[in-house]
Amino acid sequence: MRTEERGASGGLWPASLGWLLVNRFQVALYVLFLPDVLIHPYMIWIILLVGVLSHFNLRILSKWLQTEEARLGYEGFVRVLGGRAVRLLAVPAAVVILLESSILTLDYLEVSHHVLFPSVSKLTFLPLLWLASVYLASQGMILTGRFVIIAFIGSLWIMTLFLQFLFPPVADYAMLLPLVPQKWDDNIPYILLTLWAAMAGPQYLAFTGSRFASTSGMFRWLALGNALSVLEYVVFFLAVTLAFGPEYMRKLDYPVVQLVRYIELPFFERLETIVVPFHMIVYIFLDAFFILILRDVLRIATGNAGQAKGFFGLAAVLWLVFIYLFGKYFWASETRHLFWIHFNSWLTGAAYALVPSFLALAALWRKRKRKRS
Amino acid sequence: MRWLMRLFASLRNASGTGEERGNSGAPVRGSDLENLKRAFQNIHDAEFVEIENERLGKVTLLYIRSLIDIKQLQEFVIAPLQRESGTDLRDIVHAAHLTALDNSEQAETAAFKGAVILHAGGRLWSVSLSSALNRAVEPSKQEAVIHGPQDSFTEQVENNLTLIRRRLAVSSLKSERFLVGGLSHTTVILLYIENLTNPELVRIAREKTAAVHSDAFFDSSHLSQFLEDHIHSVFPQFQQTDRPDAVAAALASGKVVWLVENTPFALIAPITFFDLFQSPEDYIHRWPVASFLRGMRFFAFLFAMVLTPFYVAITMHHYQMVPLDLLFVVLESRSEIPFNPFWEALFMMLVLEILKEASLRMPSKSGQTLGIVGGIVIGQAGVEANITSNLLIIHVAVTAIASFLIPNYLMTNSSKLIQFGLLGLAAWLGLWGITLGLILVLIHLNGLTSLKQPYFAPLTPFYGMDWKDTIVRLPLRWMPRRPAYLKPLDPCRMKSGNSRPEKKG
Amino acid sequence: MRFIIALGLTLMLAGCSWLDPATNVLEEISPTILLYLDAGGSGEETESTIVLPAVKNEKKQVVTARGWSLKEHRQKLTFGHSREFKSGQLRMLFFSEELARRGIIRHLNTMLLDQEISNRLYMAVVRGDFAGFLREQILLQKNYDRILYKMFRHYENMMTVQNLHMFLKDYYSSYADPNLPLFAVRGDQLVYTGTALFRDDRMVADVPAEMDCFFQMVDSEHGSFPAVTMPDLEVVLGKVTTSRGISYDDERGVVITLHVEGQVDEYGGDKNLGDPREAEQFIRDVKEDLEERVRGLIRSWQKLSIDPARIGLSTLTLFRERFPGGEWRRRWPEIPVTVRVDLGLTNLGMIKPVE
Repeated sequence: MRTEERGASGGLWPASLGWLLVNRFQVALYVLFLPDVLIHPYMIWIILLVGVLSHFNLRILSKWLQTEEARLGYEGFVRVLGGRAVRLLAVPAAVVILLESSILTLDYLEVSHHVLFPSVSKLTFLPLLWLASVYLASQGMILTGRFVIIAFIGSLWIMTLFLQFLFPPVADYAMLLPLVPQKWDDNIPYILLTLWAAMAGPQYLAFTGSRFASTSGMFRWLALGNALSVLEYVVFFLAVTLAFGPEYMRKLDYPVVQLVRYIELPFFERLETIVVPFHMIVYIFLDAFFILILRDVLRIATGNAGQAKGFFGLAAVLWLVFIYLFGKYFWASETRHLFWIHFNSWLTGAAYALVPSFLALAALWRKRKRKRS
Repeated sequence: MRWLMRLFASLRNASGTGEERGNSGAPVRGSDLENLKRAFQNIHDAEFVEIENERLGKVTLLYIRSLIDIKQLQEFVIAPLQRESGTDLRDIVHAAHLTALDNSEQAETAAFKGAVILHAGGRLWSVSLSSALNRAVEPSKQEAVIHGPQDSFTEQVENNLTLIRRRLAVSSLKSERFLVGGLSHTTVILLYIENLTNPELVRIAREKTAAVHSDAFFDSSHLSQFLEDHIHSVFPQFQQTDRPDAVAAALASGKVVWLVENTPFALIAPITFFDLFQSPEDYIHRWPVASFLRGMRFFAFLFAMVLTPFYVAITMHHYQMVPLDLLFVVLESRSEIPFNPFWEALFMMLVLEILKEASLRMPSKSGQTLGIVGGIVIGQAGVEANITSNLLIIHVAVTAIASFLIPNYLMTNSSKLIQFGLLGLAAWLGLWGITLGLILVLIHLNGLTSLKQPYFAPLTPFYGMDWKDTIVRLPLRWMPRRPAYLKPLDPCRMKSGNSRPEKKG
Repeated sequence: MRFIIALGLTLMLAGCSWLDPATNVLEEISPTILLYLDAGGSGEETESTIVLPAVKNEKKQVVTARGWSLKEHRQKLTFGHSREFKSGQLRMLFFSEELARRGIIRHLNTMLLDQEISNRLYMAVVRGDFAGFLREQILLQKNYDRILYKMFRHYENMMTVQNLHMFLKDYYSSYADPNLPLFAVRGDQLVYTGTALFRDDRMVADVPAEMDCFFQMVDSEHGSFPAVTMPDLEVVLGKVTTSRGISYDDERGVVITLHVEGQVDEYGGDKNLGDPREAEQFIRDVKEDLEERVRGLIRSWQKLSIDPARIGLSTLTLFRERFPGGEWRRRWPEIPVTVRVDLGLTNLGMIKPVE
């Protein structure tokens, strides 16, 4: 598209954009909801543990991104996996992308609907969000990637509002005790999975290797993004625990949003009417990103991988129709929607664990094969 | 869609109109002088003077009287021709701009640019003797500063070039001349500093200027609409200024400048969104003051765009956000108004726009009275008749004033338009709608380019060092490098050999 | 072209629920700021009373409705008035003592579920006929509901001020019990008569007005009081700042340390406070009196097995919960409590009282 050329004039993405991308991907869903498994104060160690595991996973991802094949885009995937395999994987990939972005978006719209406009259906917000995402996506992947800077600034300030809850007199540190319990919760594996899924998201960067101007030193940036996400989770978790207390927190649906409603600034009260809409910018960015990946996947699936144009309209409309129908028929009641969130945990958790390792191993195997021959 | 267009094109071609148009082209070749005389028919101020010179023979002078300086003609051309004698015209006419011409088309162009055409010895010559009709250099009315240079450009492009060359006294300041416009033959001078400005920018600028095909340009903004990348955007992609110090600063940073004849406004590109908020006065104030003022401009821009929609959103959808004391004030003031907050705000904003436009066109004598009438009386009467609430009048008035904080005149009206859009979204979906509107504007800015360079630099793509001069203005000593988003060839401003005392004797 | 198609698709899909059916336009609603809940006639019924905001020339009204649920009350009240009652600006919630003793969690849950209502809802218990009192006061002072709100905002440190968030936080915690300020209607005045103490969501006792500042001393980490009256010792301490420290160990039980600093504002007794020995004696007397009072308070709580001062939180350590899962509630009545007061009184007085 002509806009693809526009983006190229400012240059491809610098490697340092990686940290913003990783951070916004990781923080997207769970900041507003804070996984309902975080019920004890000592869960903070589990957050840190998952952060460390994610750190190592990102090392594998950066190894993949630094190979030559990742930098080539579609060509590189064909070289590593074979043309037929890539085409075969395209269809399940499309389904995964559609499901993940539907769940992500519908969850956010659920919060918007619940908190701001209880009598307006979420399906009214959806086409508007879609319009903004499509507008962004129509500018091409390079410009969309750059937009993460704006998305970051637009949503990071929310964390600063929570810092007031970390200090006395509002905070009663006794609520945090005991921090190192003798008896841990029974559900540790499930908790680990949910938190791992919360940190998932950067695996999609594996498909954008060709947009980076250079990937040397990539790991540094990915790790920085990861560290910032962990910090954000810890701050939100601490603020919520200190403000509500562990038992009360368990009873609330969206503890973070409820806490935002409690903030009182000199001229402003009820800040959730500003915070929840501002969070939309992250979702618009993510949805645009997903629409563009969907477009590429559709091109591959229909065998038109070499084309530089086309399939964008199809991807955009397909995305909208899928989410609209999904939202209308599969998202009706709260129990349904809890099921989808758990499903999403499994889906993204598996993707985050498998995709970087799979690709890195495949590249390594190919390199070994080439060395041998 | 495309097949439909092709169908129409083929129909048009088949109707044979193209053929007929093709026939009227080529001129009949006759002698040059005859061509010129034919071209100058029915132009009452075209004059032909024939002078007999001893050795040269008959010398015919052709000129357009309204474009040349008669005194200089008499002194430097006619008098020498009558007095002196020589075989070559160059020995007789000692004028600085005597050039030989190849054909009558060139002669025609030159004649309309203020040259006198001489036909001597079978050849055509031109001497540039433009009339000195011009405006004196006055302070700029649009970008007045209290401290700082008070001169501004005039309509004469050569005078403007003088003002710039005095400020950038180096040979690397290159100027390329273009003639654009089939009818207006407007001189456009492209300025850049070689070895500093990125050659890519110069190349794009040159290509775009050469590709302009319209017939008449009377202002630089007409030209800019043919040079810009995005014609549908409300954000200007060229900066227009009539201050030579702003132009010189832009050139020194690595930008490209167009000087256009017959207008005092020069075009500067590439610009970013943040450049629209910069004023030359920023570099004259102390840096904390300048930073404060610049920050205030950004705030005022946002404030002006968002205040009335915010008010509408809160009174229509989010009444729970209003602090308690204000709640009763607003309730009281809104209680007897027959309209929705949305219609009321829309109505008041339209009235304000009408007042603004009317005050521009009113004769200056009645302007002030009507302004007072409009502003105070209508507003007051509206409140008393319960057509509008006083809170809203305050909002609209503050918005109007705040929108003038933006130095760039074109942006003032752009922000008004965005405000109307946000108003509609606010009425529909409250604060969610306003945020969506702002995000759409941000997405638009993200994809905008000026001279094919990203418009929202140094935000996206992010150039850390450039932020020293974007929202704040840090001390000039702390800015040793030129703006990185322009990718200058020579990024360092501060070099040791830059200043030296002048040697005496 | 593509833009137009996209826009058209958007509007078509979004347009299915084009406008918000629940209108929130400010001039078409009556945002009430005060709600009073009373136990209604039979069984589970409640009665709610609200004050209608009035604009310009309308009269301010106080209306009551009865029914099983709060929303039912709303409906009964709304139809018949031109402006719909909305609860988004609800700032104060009063309970009658009867209803408080019956249990209020169901109503609090309703408040919590309603997304329009803020969590900073001030709550209080009222003894007496508050509805009648409101009706009278509204006729005398049009802005009486705003005056009540301002009272809550102003006295946050000096009397018990609780909002929905803090109440529920104490309610759900297993180491604390909630409390609410208690007011009484006396004639034509609303008087602050202490703090109502709750076990879970039922009111079980109250701290009378004279003991209230001592309750505040134990309850808040740092308190400041303009005047502390001790009639037995004929002294009024002024500009008192207190801070508390609570620790627990297995042998001695709960040890509460109160640091009290203040000055003597009024003294009507016999002692000559200029003489150092008598002053020492005086200070010791005040200290013992304070300790006795606080001990008495805490003992009364232990009898009722409630913990309004969140003393239980001191039993948590970094590594273990001594009384997990609600056991604190069972053990609390038997735990020995020691109270120690560190008193620093300055400015004992320069003028000797007249003999």
